[in-house]
Amino acid sequence: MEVHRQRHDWRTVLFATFLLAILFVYTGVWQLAFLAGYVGGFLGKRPRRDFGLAFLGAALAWGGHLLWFYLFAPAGALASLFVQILGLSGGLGFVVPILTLLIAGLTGGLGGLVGAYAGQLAYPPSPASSSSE
Amino acid sequence: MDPETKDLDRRVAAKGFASVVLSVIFLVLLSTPLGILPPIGGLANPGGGIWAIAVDAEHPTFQELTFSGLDGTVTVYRDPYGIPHVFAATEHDLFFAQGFVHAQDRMWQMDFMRRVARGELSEILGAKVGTLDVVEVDAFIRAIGLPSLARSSWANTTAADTSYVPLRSYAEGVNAFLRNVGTPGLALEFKLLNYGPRDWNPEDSLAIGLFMAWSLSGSFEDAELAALAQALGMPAVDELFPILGPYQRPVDPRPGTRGGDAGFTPGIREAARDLLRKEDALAALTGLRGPWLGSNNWAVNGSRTDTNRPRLANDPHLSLQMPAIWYENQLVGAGFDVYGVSIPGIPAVILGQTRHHAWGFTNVGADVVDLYSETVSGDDYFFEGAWRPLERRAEVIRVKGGNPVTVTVSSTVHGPIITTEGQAFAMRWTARDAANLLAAVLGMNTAAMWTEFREALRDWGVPAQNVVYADEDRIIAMRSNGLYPIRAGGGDEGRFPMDGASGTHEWVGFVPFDEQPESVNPIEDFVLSANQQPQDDAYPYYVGSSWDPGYRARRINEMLENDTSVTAADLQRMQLDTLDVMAREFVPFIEDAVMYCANPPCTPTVMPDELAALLAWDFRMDADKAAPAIWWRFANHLREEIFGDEWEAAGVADLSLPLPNMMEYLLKEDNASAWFDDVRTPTIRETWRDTVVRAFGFASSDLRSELGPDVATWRWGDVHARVFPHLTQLDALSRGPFPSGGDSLTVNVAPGDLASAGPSWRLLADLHDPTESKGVYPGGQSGNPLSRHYDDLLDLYLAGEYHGFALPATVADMRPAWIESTLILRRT
Repeated sequence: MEVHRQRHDWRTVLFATFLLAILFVYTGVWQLAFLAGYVGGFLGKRPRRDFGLAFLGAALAWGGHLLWFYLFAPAGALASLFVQILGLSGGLGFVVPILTLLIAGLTGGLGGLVGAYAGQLAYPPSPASSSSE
Repeated sequence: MDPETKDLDRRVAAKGFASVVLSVIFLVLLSTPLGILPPIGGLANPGGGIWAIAVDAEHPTFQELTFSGLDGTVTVYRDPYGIPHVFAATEHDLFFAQGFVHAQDRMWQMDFMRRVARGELSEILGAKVGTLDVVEVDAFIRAIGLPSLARSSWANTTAADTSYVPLRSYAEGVNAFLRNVGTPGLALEFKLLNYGPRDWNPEDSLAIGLFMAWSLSGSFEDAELAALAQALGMPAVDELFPILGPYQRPVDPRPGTRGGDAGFTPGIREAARDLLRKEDALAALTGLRGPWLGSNNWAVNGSRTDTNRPRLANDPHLSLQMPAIWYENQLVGAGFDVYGVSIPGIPAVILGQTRHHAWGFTNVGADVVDLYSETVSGDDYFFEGAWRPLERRAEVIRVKGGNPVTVTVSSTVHGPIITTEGQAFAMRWTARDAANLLAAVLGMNTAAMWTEFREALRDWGVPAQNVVYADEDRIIAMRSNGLYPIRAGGGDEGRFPMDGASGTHEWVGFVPFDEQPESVNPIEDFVLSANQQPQDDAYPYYVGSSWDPGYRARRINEMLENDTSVTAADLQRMQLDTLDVMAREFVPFIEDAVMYCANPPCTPTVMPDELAALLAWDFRMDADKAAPAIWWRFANHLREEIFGDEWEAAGVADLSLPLPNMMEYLLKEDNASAWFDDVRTPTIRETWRDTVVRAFGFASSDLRSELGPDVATWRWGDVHARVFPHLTQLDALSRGPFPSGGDSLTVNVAPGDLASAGPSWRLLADLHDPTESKGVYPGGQSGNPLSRHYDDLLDLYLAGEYHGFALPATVADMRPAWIESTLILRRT
């Protein structure tokens, strides 16, 4: 007997990724953002959409932390210092949070993509909910 | 499954596989170091990457932590400069907490220092940094034996030793910090270099202490002097590098010996160059060693102060670095009530004060390292008429990104063989006889009176230090304290490398403690030291010949002699003094040489503006004046002009030139000396005036090309600055350059054009009211570059200011205004 599972809508994918990515930040293991996205994608099973949602979910999770750091810690000074360490002008400090969000997004997004394909393979979409991807 | 579904599955599987491959590539790329950059994914992580540095920039206003290893509760208040005041009931808890707070603020520096001291830099830096061979530096540290000495020292420390509990408890405190913060909370440098620290061990503290001892007492001057003697002749070395230099004001006015010749092996030049090259590489890599490491200290008794009680000043001259060498703290409890500076990684307070007494150090510069030329054949060496097996020790050096390197250290009865270039030389160093200094430091921290303090100094072997002391009972004292070896041959044996085979040049003992130079409540009512020779010709023992030129000591002496009511402001003025005594002695000679003509009165024919600037000068090396720039360039050129030609002709241009006070001696006492002649012009016999004028001309042309033709616009601060490089040498973490006054010879020392050494701690102790004492060091308490305490003390330092000490005797005494943050450490 084949098991079919209904696709979850975009909110589920986004929130699952977002919440897990927030939790995983505290482990200190950045690669776990991929797992967060994977879980979201696995639930969603629509690879392109889930890539985008997981990208957004992970980036928001890390971005929330960054916002906190910018509000309550000298995160701007840190970003400026970091680019100076790389030999660049301190004025390019804005690149560091953008790069951070990009890394979060791509890590989560790729997780979402793989998760969606894995979800499709493990639990093929029910004929009623199938649509082209 | 129908074929259509199967086909769909295959397509999904193929796309899924492609996405997995893409993901793996992405994750691996971001988890892999890119050149010098650590893995970018980990750095970006808000939960443990560089962002955590911002979160940890300041200590929480209130923090309470529990640890099973504590005996009770420890209270740590940090004051507005981030200086911790530690209150504990037991010695264990006191040093546990000190280790904890040191690690909180300086963990990376501590780890770096232990790696330097244990020859483990390659493990984090790789085999090369630029052109520097890091593995060779590690191998050198292993060869001189710092890690093995630390190991044996801790192995020989028993629970009955006074240093046992502090060392062990301190290590427990550091490790408690490491457990508490985990990887995410580590310092920026760990993340940039992509590694984490291992647990702290008492051996690490001892190794750092030994490295500091090596920095202040390790010297290969024996080999360098021998190479110079071989090249220039023994009379030249005796004349230009005397055991007791001219115009010195000894620390303790008692007499020394002048010795005879020494034999030199053919390979001495190669050996000297090899050893100096290794020393230079160590200095370049760590910034922790180099020339002009010196210090000032003095004490004035109550009869000459405004308070009727002694005052004491100390400023050790060490490398200026970020984070600073020192860390300020107060320790209260279990018999301790001491305030001052510690070295991160080492328990207790190295320099500072109690409510009863204060103390400070300057380096003696004693000859406590001897080189023995060894007769080696295969695995054996010849000693006292017989072949003996070399002791071999394999040292494995782990290398980041490379295979481990095994080096074999061979030792003779004298110690490790540290070079085989030209000739095998083994090194004998006093650290072998006194590797654990902590007992002495603990004794100085807890002494209740001078006699107890003096007794504690018995345990201080190396590096020999001029220890200044003053207390509320109106005792002032200075001891040139340490282990000074006595060689079997007597005289100045040990000044040059010795034959290791005969067994007739061995160390037969040390200068007895009670016969070391010491001055207690002298008739002048002040004592002073500035690395000048410790005593004069009457002293019966040879203790060395590598003394400071003595200009700082002369200046301090004249300032103290001329002030019979020394105030705190006077002490501060003296410590910040920039008058160059050498300039004062030399400018009349410059005037004479430049103005000289056959038929007086004469007018200067060359460089009138430069000469006018010098003649109108007060000899203070102030940053906003032109004359100091002219003077200093002249002084450097003069040394080259007098001696450089002979050095070059003898093939030793890379070895040290005589000290500046020898130039003063030649100008004043022997101005017909052949040293003034330029050997490159055999048909002309240059006089001292010719040489002075030429040096003056070079100085002028240097500055005109650098600063333009208008002398009135020249500023010393335009060509002279202080710099505070970070230990990683990263500019973004360093501070400076800051235009600066002073030079190598002023009390407020700032050597070189870019001074990266100088006063590393300034203490002005008031023995009438210890709460009126002041101090400052360049840098800040925190090693976190985002903390306000990373460089807040540097601002004070550069402005020539100090901060007062909060000196609560109990937790209840800590005024709210003094408390920036509170840390409570409780037993679980």
